[in-house]
This record gives sequence, structure tokens and C-alpha cells, in this order.
Amino acid sequence: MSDINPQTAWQPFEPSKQQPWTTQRAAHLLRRCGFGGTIAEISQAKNAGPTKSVAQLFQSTDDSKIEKEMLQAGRLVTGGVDSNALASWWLLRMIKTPSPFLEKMTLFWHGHFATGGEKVKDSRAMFRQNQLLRKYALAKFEPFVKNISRDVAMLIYLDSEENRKTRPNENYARELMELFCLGVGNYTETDIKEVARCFTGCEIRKNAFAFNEYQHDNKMKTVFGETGNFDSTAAIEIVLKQKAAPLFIAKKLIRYFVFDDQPISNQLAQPIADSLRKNHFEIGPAVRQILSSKLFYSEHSIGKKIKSPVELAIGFLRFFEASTNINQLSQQLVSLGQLPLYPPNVKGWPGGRKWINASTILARANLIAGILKNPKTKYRDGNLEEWVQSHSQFQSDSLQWAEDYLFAVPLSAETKSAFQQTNPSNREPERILSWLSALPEFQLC
Amino acid sequence: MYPKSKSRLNLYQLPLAGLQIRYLVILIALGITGPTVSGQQHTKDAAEFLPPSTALYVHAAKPAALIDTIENHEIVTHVLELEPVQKLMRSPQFAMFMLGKGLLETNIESSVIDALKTNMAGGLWLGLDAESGGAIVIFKSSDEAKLKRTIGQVLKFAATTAMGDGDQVPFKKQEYRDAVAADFGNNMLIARYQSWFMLSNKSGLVKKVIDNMHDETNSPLSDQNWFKQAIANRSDSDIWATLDLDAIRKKSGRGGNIFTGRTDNPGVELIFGGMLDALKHSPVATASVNIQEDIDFSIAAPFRTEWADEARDYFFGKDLEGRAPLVLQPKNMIASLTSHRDIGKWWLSKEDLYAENVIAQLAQADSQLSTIFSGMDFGEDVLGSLQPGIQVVIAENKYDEKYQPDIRLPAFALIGKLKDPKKLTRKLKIAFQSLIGFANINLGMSGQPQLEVETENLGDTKILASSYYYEDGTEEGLILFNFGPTIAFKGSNIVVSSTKDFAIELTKLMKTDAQGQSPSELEPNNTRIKIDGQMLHKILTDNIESLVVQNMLEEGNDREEARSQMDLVLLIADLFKEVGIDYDVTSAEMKLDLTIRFDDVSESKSSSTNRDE
Repeated sequence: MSDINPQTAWQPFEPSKQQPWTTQRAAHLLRRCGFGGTIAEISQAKNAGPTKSVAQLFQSTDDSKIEKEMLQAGRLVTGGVDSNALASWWLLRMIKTPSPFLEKMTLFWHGHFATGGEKVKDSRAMFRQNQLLRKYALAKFEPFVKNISRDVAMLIYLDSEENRKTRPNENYARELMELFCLGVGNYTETDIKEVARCFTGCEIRKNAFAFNEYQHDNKMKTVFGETGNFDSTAAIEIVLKQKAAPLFIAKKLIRYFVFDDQPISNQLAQPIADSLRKNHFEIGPAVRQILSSKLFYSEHSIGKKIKSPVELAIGFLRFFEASTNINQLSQQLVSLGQLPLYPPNVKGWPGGRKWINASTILARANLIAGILKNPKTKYRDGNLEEWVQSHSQFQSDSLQWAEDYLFAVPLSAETKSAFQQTNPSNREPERILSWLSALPEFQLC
Repeated sequence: MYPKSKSRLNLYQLPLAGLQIRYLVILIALGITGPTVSGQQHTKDAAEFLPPSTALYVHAAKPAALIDTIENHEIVTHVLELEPVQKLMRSPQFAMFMLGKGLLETNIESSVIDALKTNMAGGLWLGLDAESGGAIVIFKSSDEAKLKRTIGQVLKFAATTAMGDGDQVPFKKQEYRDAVAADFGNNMLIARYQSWFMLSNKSGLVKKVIDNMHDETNSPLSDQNWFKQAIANRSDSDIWATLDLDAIRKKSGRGGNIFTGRTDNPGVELIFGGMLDALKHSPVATASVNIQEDIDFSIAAPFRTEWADEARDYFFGKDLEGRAPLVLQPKNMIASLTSHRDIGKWWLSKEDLYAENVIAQLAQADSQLSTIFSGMDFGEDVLGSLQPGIQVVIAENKYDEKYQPDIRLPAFALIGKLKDPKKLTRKLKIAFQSLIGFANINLGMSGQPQLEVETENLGDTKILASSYYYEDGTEEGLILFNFGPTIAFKGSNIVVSSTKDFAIELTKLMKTDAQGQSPSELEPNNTRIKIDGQMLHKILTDNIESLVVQNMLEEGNDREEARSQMDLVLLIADLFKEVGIDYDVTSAEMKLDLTIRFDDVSESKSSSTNRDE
């Protein structure tokens, strides 16, 4: 990554002879800012060009019908303590939504403000948090943090149902700075203790956030050098004023959208951090800058991320305009370690190369094979053969078709040769797709 | 690169869901060119040819009449007119099926239905062989020449279709003792001997049948004592079947199956436990099906008093004479189960009924429940306070006008009689209050509305009713299911109900004498279950939104598809008027009768499935 120039990395990408706007780049945009487009969506993005395609992501989509349906469905699946049905509901929403970018951002914030259903044991609280994440996904970060700090599911997850002045709960204060706003090394133990005092009096009562003024520490506190009788709102404002805050969020956004597993220097992230600060910590403009940048469409980014299990499954289903048994899909995602609403811990899913190991590589292939074999999987209301028959390129040249639309990187000569050596009588669509989805290249995004 | 999909009609791959189409086509085809003469020559029964190891024998003596009944049944006519079925019939898959059928009919020069009605005149049989695991379908034509010609036509058709698709002829012709056969591989073989036709998954089984057709000295199924005893009591039914339980038990072994007389599921034990004793001891079971306006299914097995396990006294009653309490019929009842069960005795006998792991779980539950019930022993003091005989009633629920819950569960109640109402009523009232208090602690901890208990006396009925307390305007988001646990006492009757209204309605249906005692009115059976089709339909309609969401998650359907599928379920549910199950046991026999009564479909159904309602 040393050859990335921080000065030019975030300049707008403009197609050129050397770096044309291709189907692969259009597909890359849709993979990163959603779960991957359909062939029609990729073609549409290809024709629209990068600027218009990115702009369209930020235009509001008329999803009032699905929003209404999903709200009603969400209410109906949140009858019990088990959030499994709610996880299925969210997966269904990811498949059906006309705004995949918004769901992708919601998934990002779910990993950022990680909250686990197995501990919260209140699916309605998880549902409300999920709605909150969606509402603020591209909005201003400060009110977002203030609201998440009052979110019932979050407070239960971080053992902050009670925070008394005689015994301030440092758990939430620590995570607020370490995981949500600043990152390790950008605060002191004293800051944690002082911020915890600001949060005293914050409680859950009647299944909702409540402020108990009698339990609030009304004495002076000193947070990051500022002294006053601060409450939780003031504490969040002071935390977000720190120089490290926009840089921390910028790095997380870059890691989510641009590449995994590479160190991101302050120098590289600073322009995005500056954008956040300039726009009063509004997330949308910073994400837009990332998605429009030279770096985003460069070889440093394309194919340099590993699909998370959710991206793998939802991307596959959305690409084929398919639907399947979502409850079964949820179970399969459990074995791959990424059932939404059940992050492994407060740090969320580590992502990157951690998704791949000896057991998950087989399980990922089985996930797609399972979807393909599932009799409940429907492809645009028909079967796979009918879907394939309406896409002549798949029939005439499956490999080229896959490279154009399904894969983030070109297939190796060895892979192509191996495919040519397979018995043509075995080239039924299901077998082809099972074979393709088991390739290492298919795991890249 | 990708091989083009086969556009030619391949009769053996017709996509008709759920049917083994190859079997069906061959059966239909062979039935088609049967005799049109009415004279029947079936002097022999297939039982005279089936091997002695046959464990299941099924016989339809008059298949033609049965087809006639089904074809003309008003429910079948109604179902075929339903829009979802009509839609299916307009699908390309159904068109393919009809094309295949049409080709067959052209070859055979007869319609399928007419041919089926006039063929199989000699009877239709199904046998399952315990020794080989093979299944065989046999039917008899009274015109050997036509049967022979039909087989030839079917085989020719199959060969032509396969070769047209570039495949090999899908069968190998074989001969065995004057019988001709075609082996299709994949465990499918058809054979003809004289006017008998056979279809099986095991060639060895077909050979045994053909051997028996030749050699009358062999010992077939009809010579077996168990079969002779079973068929001696054969009823005059459309379909009759008998099962050699001894053979099945030997085949299945002794470990971990239903023939050991045990189940690890407490619910299954409570409802069906006694039947396990029959499965453990009875040598044979018989079944009959009659299809007229209603469908009647009956299954019976010989039984002896000494076969009843001592631990199942709770189930059978003394000398097998336990009878279910007379079922209460509240307004808008959806389902009821009434049975002779001494649940106190059942709980105390659990160590003799279940495996160790289940006993451990029940013991743990016993301890926790005793705590909840204020130190009363759950088995001896709580369940033991009830006389034998309990019933469960489910009915439509009433909803608060100002709050309509998202999930509309029906009202339900458990009804029993106290052994000593004077002594026990107050103790149980205290136990109920403790139970609500315990629930309130948990509800309060999770921020849920809590239950408020009210006491009310209505004549000779004492009621303790609980209801959720929530402030006006805070209903949004609460899922209360219209649930308010209630306990009511009337004479010796006790009702534990999901709502106060339902408890009151049930107690009004109960009688007490001048001394406040309840007369013991009993059903003639040990267990009786009733399901009202129309009310079930209504409760499904009430919860359609929840069912649609479940369908979306299970089937991956979008909302409109899910709604469409659930509408079909509603339409099907709407066909049933009542489903009844009667279970009875005597010192000679154990019997279970299932009756399905259909609704009068001549009335318009459209209003009941209107989405806008």
C-alpha cells in the first residue's frame, strides 16, 4: 500500500483510456455499496457512468411499500425473546430491499455498535436498535451516538441498565471511546472514569431509557481537559470533538468500503476525516467521497476484500433475483460465524482474512451449494434453468460471463483450464455455479 | 457450452410435484385398456400369491366405484374450481402433463378416467414384504389380451421417448415362468402373468408372487394364521388393510422405537401413551377407509387387559374402563380434547414411563413447580387434587376494542374436577396467586406490563382472574396476546383458562347439583378430539398476517406470493366442517376412529377469503 498517494487517492475517479469505466468496475461499485447488483443493475451502472451511479445511491428510493411491509413483519416476528426470527427478518429485508446501500450501511453500523441478541434477550429492543441504525446510517454521527447511548439493547448488552453515582459503570464509557468514537490509545483511564460519571443516572425503566436525576453525579468532571458538570450528552460532544474521532470513523469506513487487512495510515485517512469534520460529522458525504475516489476503483481496492458470509449469501441471492428458505439460511450463517444480530462480542465481526480458514472455506462452498440445492430456492419465480435460458451469455460462455458479472477478479489460467477439462455433460447450471462458487476468486469482493 | 435443455417431451421426467410420475403413468396406462365388460373373474385374492413374510396388506375391492366416488365428490369438484388450482392447471408444467396424458389416451383410444373406472375390475392390492423390504402393487384385469397389449404399448412408448432424447431404452425385458417383465432399473420393475399385473421395487418379490401363482402348494399370506384372524373380521369398506405387528416388531428390533411401549415425549405419552401398549403386544392391526360424503378411517388392534402397563393406569382407568368427561361446547369452539387421564397418577408414575434423562428433567420441573405453588407438592397436592378426566378446550378469543394484538391467539382452557373441593379450593386459589406473583416478578424485571388479580363471585362460581395492567396510550408495541390467566371453581369443577371471559363461559355450561356437586357425565370413549374446520379457518384468517410473515421467512416468498399461498391454505381449511378422533379401548380391542366431515361447498366461499375483510 506504500504506493498509494494520499494526496490523490480521494480525488474523483474519472474514466480514462488507462482506467476505463467497465462492467467490472460497475459491478465492483454495486458489490461494495450493496451486496452486488443483478445483471440489469450492473449494466445500468455501466451505462450511467461512475458519477451518476454513485449519485443514484444517495437519492432516496421509493421503498415505502417494502418499508411498510417490513415494519409490519418486524413487529410480528418480535413476539418472543429469541432474536433468531428477527435475524431471518433482516436477511429477508436485505434480499428484498430496493435500497441495498442503506442495508449495507446498517450492517456496517451493526458491526460498529455491536449488540448481541443472545444477551439482550429482547427481540423488540433489537428491532428498535436495528431501526435506529438504519435511520442514522448516513446521517450525522453525533446524534447517532447520543441515541445509541440511550438504546435499550445497547445498554443491556454493555451491562449499563443501572449507572449509579456511588458506583459509576465504566463499561459503556470505555466502549464509547475505544470502540465507537476514538480507538485505543486516544484516551486515558481517567477519561473513562470521568465519562462514566457523566453517564450516571442513565437507566432502563419500563423497557425504555430513563434518566434518574437522583443517581446522577452532579459534581464537576474533567473530560479531555474540559471541566464542568457534564452529563452524558455533553460527554459525547466532548469525545467527538477530539481529533482522533473523525480519523477513527474514517479508517473504519475505508476498511469497510475499500480494502481489508492493510494498515491505513493517518495520512491516508485524513482527507476523509476532514470531510467528516467539515460536514459536521455527517456520514453520507464521507462515504460518497470514498465511493467516488480513484482509490476505490484502483487495483488497491478491486478484489481486495473478502466477502463476509452475509455478503456471500445475500449477494448470490440478489444477483440471481432469487429467494430461498431464510430460516435455513440463518442456520447456515451461524455455522459461518455471521448471523446478523449475533456478533461474536462487543467488537463486532473482525472481518477480512478472519472469514477464511480451513473449515469456513468448505462451509462457504456448502452455503452456496445448499442454496442451489434447496427446493425452496426460486430464481425470479422460476427455476435456475429458466433463469439461465434468459441469459444467453451464460449458456454460450459461462466463464466469461462469470468474470464479467460474478467475480471481482479475473480467473486464473489454471482455473480456466480446469473448467475446460470438466466433462461438458456435467455443465448443468447448478454444477457450474457450485463449482464457480467454491473457487478462491469467488470469495473476493 | 451449456447443453441445451431438452425441449422434447420426456414422459418420465414430467415435473408434477410430489408424484412418482413414472409409477403413476405406468399404472394409468395399464389401467386404460382394460375390459369394458362387466363380468368379473376375480375368484382369487392377491393374498393367495403374496409371500408369507408380507407385513402389510391393503385391498381395494371395488376400485372402480372408489374412483367414481372421488371423481364425483363435490369437494373434488369444488377444489378443481378454486382459482389457485385453476392457475396451476394453466401452468406449463400441467400442460406438459396433459400432453403426455393425451398421447397415452390417443394410443389407448380411451379417456383415462373411463378406462380406470372400467379396469382394475378384479381388485387392487398393495403389499409390503418385511423380509425383503419390497413393496408391490397388484391389480387384476379380466381381459388378459388387452393387458398384454397395453404393456406392449407402454414399453414401446417409453422406448421411443427415450431414444428420441438420445438415451438408451430405459428397461430390460425379462421372462420368468411364463411371466413377462420389464426392469427399469432404479428399483422399478413391472410384470404380467396372465391377467395379473405387478409393479414392484424388488424383482425377488415379484418372482415370489409369480411362483405362488404357479404353485398352489406354497404357503402364501392367505395361509398365515395372523392374516386369517384379521380377515375373518374384515369390514365392508372401500379400502381395507392389515398389518403384521409381530413381524414389524421383529424387523425393527427392540431398541429405541415405538414398539418398546415407551416414548420420551411427555406430551405424546399423555395423549397416545396407551396405544404404545398395543403396539408392544398386539399381533396385528387392521384399518379401513370409507369415502362417501365424509371420509371415515378406522384402525383397530386386539387388546388384552393384561397388556396394559401398570404405570398406565392413569391412561386406561381401572379395568380399562376410564371414560372421558362429557365435552363442553362453548360458542365458537375451535377444538377440544377430552380424555380419561389421571394426571396426578401420571406425574407420580413418571419414573416408570420415561427414560432417565426425561425423568431428571421432570424431577427438576417438579422441584421448581413445587416452589411456584407455595410449597405444595406439584404431583401429589396440585395435580393429585384432580379426579381422573381432563379436557382442553380452545375457542375464538375476544379482543379489547381499544387494543387489537398483532398475534391473535385463541382462548384456551384446561378443565377438570377436584377430588375434595371444600379442602382444595382455597389452597389452589393461594397457589394461583403465588403463580401470578411469580410471573409478575419476571414481567417486572423485563419491563413488561404486570398482571393484576381480581376476585369475583358469580352465583356459585368463584373466579380469580388476572389481566395486564398498562396505562392508556402505552399499548403500542406490546404483544399481550389478549392473555389473562384465570382460575374458576364451580362445585367440584375447576377451570384454568387463558382469559376471564372464557372461564365464565365455560362455567356457565357446567352443571352442579343441590349440594354443589358436579354430576359425572361421561363420553362413551377414553379419548375424544374434535376440530371445527370453520372456526379453525377463522382463527387462521385472524392471524393471516403472522402466517404470511412466517411463509416469507420459510419459503423466501415476497409478500404477495406468501399471501397467495396462505389464501390457498385458507381455502383448503375452509373445506372442512369437522375432524373428529375417537379413541376407545376394551378388554378385547383398541380402536381409533377418524372422521373427516366436509363443509357444504355449495355455499359461496368467496366472502371468507376476501382480503379486504
